[in-house]
Parts: sequence; C-alpha cells; structure tokens
Amino acid sequence: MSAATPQVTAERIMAVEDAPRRRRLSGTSILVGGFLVLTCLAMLSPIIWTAASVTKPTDVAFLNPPVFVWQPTLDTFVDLWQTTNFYQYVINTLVVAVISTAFALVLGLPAAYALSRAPGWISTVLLIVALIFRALPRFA
Amino acid sequence: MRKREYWALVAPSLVVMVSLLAIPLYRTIEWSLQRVNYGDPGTFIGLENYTSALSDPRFQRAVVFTVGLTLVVTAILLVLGYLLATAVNRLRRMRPLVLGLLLLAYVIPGLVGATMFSWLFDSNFGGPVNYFIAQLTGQDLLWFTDTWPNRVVLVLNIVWFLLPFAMLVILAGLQSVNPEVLEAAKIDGAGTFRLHWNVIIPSVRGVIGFVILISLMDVVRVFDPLVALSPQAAAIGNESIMFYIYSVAFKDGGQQLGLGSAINVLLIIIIGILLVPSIRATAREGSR
Repeated sequence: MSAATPQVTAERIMAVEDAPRRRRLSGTSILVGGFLVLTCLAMLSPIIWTAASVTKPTDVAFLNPPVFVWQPTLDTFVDLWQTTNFYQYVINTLVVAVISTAFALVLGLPAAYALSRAPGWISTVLLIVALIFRALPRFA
Repeated sequence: MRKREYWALVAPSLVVMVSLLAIPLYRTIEWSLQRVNYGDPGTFIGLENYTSALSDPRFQRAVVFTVGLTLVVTAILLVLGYLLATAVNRLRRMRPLVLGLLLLAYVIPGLVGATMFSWLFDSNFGGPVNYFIAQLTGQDLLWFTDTWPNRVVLVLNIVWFLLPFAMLVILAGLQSVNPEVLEAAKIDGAGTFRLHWNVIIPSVRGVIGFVILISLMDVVRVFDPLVALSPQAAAIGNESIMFYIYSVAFKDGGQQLGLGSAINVLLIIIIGILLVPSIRATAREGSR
C-alpha cells in the first residue's frame, strides 16, 4: 500500500497539471496577446504612417486634418529618383558600408581567431576598450 | 611560435582601435585647453574653457535635462522591456514574426526614425496623433514648442527605438532561467508577482545590468531625436548636452572648438562616472 501511494500521487499531480493548463491558455493568454498586439501596433505606427504618407499623392499627403482614404500612387518614388540626386547618395552609402565592413572583417577576424584560441588578459583589455569606444560622445 | 603568431594576429586590430581611440581623445583634451578656431592652431588659455562652461546656466540646464531624461528613459525601458520579454517568451510559432516586427524600430537609423515620429505629431503635416487627440478631448497640444509635451515626445521616441534592444537582451536572459527553480517556486505556492520579483529577476540580474549600462550610455549622448523633434531645444529648455556641444562648437563655422572640446571632456567624465560600476564588474568577470 505504501509502495502504491507515491505512484498514485504522482499521476494525480500530472493530471492536475493538465487541467489548469487548458484554462490558463484562455485567460492570461488573451491578456498577453492583446498587450503584444497593442505594443506591436504602437511600435509600428510611425512606420505604417510613413508608408501611408509615401503612397499618397503629394497634394494630399500632408494635409491637416489627415486623410485616411486616398488613391495610392507611387509618384513619390518616381520623383525621388528623377528629381534629386538620390542615386548618388545610395552609391555613396553603399561604398562606405562595403569598404568599412571589409576593413572591419580583415582586421577583426584574425584577432578574433587568436583571442578565441588563447584568451588572456588582452581580451579583457579589448573588451573594456570596445566599451569605452561605444560610450564616447560622437563629437569627441 | 605560439606567442609571435598570437601577437601578429591581434596587433593590427589593437593598433587601429587604440589609435582611433587615443588620437581624437588626445586632440579633444588638447583643444579643450585652448581657444581654437577652425583652421587655426589654438592658443593656450588653460582651464578658462572649463570655467566658462561650468558656470554657463545653459550648460547646467542641459546637464540636468540630460540626466533626468536618461533616468526616466532607463526606468521605462526596464519595465516595458521586461514585460515585453516575458510576453514574447510565451510565444512559440509567432515569435519570429513578432520579434521581427518589434525589431524594425531598432534597425531604423535614429534620425529617420525621429523624423517619422515627428510626422505623427506635427499638425502642420497632418499628424494623426494631434487629430485624434483633438477629436477626443478638443485640446491642441503644441508638441514642438511647449516644454513638457516636447519632453513627452522625446521620451516616447527614445523609448521607441531602444525598447526592441532591451526586450531582446532581456528575452535572451529569460532563456537561461533555470526551469527547476521556477518549478520549485510554483510548487511552494508563489504567485505571479512573487515569481517574477523574487525568482526570475534575480536570475536575470546580469542582463538587466547590461540593459541599464547600454541605456545610460546611449541616452546621455542623445542627439538625433533632438535634431528632428526639438529644433528649438535651447529656447524651451530641452537641450541635451550633445545638442549644446553641437550648437556651441559648430555654429558660425566652428568658432569655438575649444569650448566645445571642453564640454566634450566634461561629458566624457560624466559618462565615465556612470560607467565605473559596470566596467569594474566586467573586469572582474574577465579576470575570473
């Protein structure tokens, strides 16, 4: 009898675990789900509004009070490419990004390899230097 | 040899890092002790830059504002980040989608994000937030020229682009919470609040410290949001230290680079003070 009781109690514990789990799935989950939906919407709101403004025709885009129903158009993108030097900025940005990434990799990979194989006090020094780098104001 | 290879591999990075760190820093300190015009070599004037900076009420206002902003934003980031991380932790299939959506705010460059934010609140450009507030309460808040509404917008924007990072880091920390300890606490009858406050938060102490560190460092140097959201910051008392440095050092084509450098050094000292506990903890971790 005393040998059977622990087993019976164990099964009872597992069964009890299943029942509230199904109930927990509806109460808290709705609250959490609602919170997440609201947060996602709030976080995306500037992006959604900008995407909306970008597809509005120019005379309607920045009207006050704002317009919520409009004729979607891609005129703004056409204007961007045709009337400004945007292509130049894109090329500049790409060049800078590619070169700096390549540079960083060429410098960093050997050092990372060496540090991973034989870490020492130097890794702490580098970590602190990196931290200080990140912390410095941009104009310094 | 082992040692020579090691140093050959590490040396280039070390040299670049230290030189990029040391040379501008040296220049900044050098200029902070001089009166410097753009293009002229400076004339040495000792600590005069520092005294004029410290006694300038505009600088003091900027310091108070920046430190206050930093503390408020850090607190909000911790609370919201923790709540979000706990919520996202419960997802299984939807997690990549939700994470991706939330991270969009972090990957957008600061100035771009701030400009998009400003459109939401600008009545000249048909800001929907103004529209809805006017519909609901009939009041018109001047988000860009009144001090406190402007502060609200600034806090909202900074929290907006730092929250995904905080959430991600805390989420990573939550993954490493020992499930057995959680189980034991639940069996002992811990309610949800106690579970979080007494069990989970102490386990993720490390990542929370990290979030505090990064948040302090980044918000103290806030600049981009102010350019887009608060162009009249000086007038309405919402200037951050970086904004002040910018207007002092670079207006008129760089007349007062010395003064700007001095304020920079002061800012570095402030940041250093904020960082000392974390640097000490990192050094201790590294040497263990």
